[in-house]
Amino acid sequence: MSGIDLFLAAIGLYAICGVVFALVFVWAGVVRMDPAVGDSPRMVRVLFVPGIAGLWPVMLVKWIRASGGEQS
Amino acid sequence: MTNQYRLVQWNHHKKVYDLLLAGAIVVYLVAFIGVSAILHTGDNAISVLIVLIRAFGTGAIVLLHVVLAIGPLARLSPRFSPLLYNRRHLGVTTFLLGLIHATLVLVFYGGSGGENPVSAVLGANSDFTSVTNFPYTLLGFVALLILFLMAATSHDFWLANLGARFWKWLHMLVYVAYALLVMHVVLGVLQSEKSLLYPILLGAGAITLGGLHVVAGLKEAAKTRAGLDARGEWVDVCAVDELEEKRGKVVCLKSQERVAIFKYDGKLSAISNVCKHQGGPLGEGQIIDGCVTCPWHGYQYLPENGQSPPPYTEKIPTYEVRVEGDRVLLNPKANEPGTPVEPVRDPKASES
Repeated sequence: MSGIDLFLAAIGLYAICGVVFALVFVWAGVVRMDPAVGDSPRMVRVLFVPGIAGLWPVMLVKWIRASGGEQS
Repeated sequence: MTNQYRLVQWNHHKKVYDLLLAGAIVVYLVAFIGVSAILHTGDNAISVLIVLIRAFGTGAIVLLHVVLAIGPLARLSPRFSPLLYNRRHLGVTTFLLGLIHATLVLVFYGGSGGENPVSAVLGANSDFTSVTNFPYTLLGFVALLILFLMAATSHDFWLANLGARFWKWLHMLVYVAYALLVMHVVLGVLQSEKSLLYPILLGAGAITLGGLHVVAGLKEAAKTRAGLDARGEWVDVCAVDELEEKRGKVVCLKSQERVAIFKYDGKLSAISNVCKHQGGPLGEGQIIDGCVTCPWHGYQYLPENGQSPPPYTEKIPTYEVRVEGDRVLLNPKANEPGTPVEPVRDPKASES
């Protein structure tokens, strides 16, 4: 496997994790993190999917923090 | 503002802006394809797909220059401020043009054989120490990833949830993307073109952009150096007559804080010059429907308390103002965001 193939495989894996996370997050987590999304048209959430997929580790941390804050 | 999100925050001005943008792109693409058809005939003929690859690629780079030039131009002259109003759509469009360019490259150069087309295109050159065999496609690919992240996070939702600092940092990566694209073009042309037209045009663009940023930066630094002293006492800002009705005047304090003073309906008020949304210059906006309206994205604040009108919740600092004779004086100590301050009567308005 060449360096380019490894690079692309890593990006592909990151993107797949991101898309799966994004779909779960816009359905179950985004309103907990930002209540304004709950008052917005549902189609708006579709617009967030690419960004969540691209920044999914950041959003995962924010989701965990939002959930922790809610429990405490 | 932030109580509800919309798919696209279109209004009449933004629709006109976007229509002009779409029209300009169509004209550019048609002109590029037409000129290419004239120049490349007979033995010099090139594939239609290659012409399209170049048309969309150069279109993306031209638009990126426009995006990067708008900021310093608006700082140099308020005439360019309307261009800032919808800059995020320019950025998203730049990414889309780049994406079409990359897709056409994959179709043309990566379509044959059983190999992964992305791998075929990115792996065609692999010597990082050679100019003639440098993997320049990789530079374009990384630049496209950066433009994707910026386009995907351009909605207000992202500014609210990533925080202004991280969001700003993320979007400053546009300069990294620009540098990568310059190298992508220069190295690509050196490997496959005899004409130096593209590198020369790109060099001229880079020098122009650099020059604009330096000149705008020097102007801002001069404004800050000339700032009014803010050691706790009231500072003399200007004559009342210097303020235009429903327009702002930006005052720079020595502390580098910027304050916007507005005259409206026979009254004077002062608020922070920095919009809560993306740091837009409120003093370069105007009062619309009784609210100071940011020239960048239309966020609004009541001049007497720095609060966005209900149901919105943004708040910015306010300042006390007073008038002595015909001079406007400002207390440089900022009040907490959203603190109501009784507006001062404009003596000239009282006389008339």
